Amino acid sequence: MFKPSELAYTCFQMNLALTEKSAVKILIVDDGEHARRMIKRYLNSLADEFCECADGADALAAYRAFMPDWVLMDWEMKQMDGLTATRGIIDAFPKARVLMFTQYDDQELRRAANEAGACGFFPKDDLLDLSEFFKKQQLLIRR
Amino acid sequence: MGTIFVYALPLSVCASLSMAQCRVKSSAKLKRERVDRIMDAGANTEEFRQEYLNYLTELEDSRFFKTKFYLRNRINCY
Repeated sequence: MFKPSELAYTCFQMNLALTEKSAVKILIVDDGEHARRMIKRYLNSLADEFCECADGADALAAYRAFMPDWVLMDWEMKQMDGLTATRGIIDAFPKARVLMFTQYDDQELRRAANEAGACGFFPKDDLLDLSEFFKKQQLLIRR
Repeated sequence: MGTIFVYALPLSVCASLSMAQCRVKSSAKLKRERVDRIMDAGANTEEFRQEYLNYLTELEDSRFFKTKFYLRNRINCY
C-alpha cells in the first residue's frame, strides 16, 4: 500500500489492480523526444515493451493498438493536451492506468488529473520517483 | 606497563586501519547503490550524462517558452 504523504508523487487510487503477468507494457505520451528517451532509459529494466506517442491526439489509437499496462502522459502537448487525452482513454477503457507526468505541480493540477481519471501524478523533475514506483509495482506483482 | 604498550600500539593501529578499509568499502558500496538506482550497471556513463543533460535542457526550454506564452496571454488580456 502506498502512502502518498511519504512520497513526492501522488497515487490517487490505492487499490490499483495489478497485473499477474510479469511482462509490463508502457505507453509514453510526451512531445519531448529527450523526455521519452530518458523515461525509457530509467524504466528499461522494469518494463518489457514501450510504445511512444508525441501527442495526445495519437494516444487513444496507440492505446487501442498496444494495450499497455501503464500510460505515462505528459500534460502540455501541441495538438491535444494530456488531460483531454486521458479523458478519451478512460472513456474508452475505464480500467486504463494513466499516470500524469508533468513539470507543473500544484494541488489544482493534481485534482484535475484525478478527476480526468488518472491514477497518479508524477513531477517531471525527478525521474527516480517514477522508477521507484515501478519497482514497488514489480515487488507487489511478485508477492 | 611498557610491554603492554608495545603490544597495544600495533594492535590499535591495525584496528583503525581495518576500520578505515571497511568505511571505504561501505562508502563505495553506497555510491554503487546510488548509481544503480539511476542507471544500469552496463550503461555508458558519458552517454547517460549527455542524454540527461539533453532532457534537462528540453525541460528548461519548454518551461521558458510556456512561461512566455502565459505572459503573452496575460498581456493580450489588457
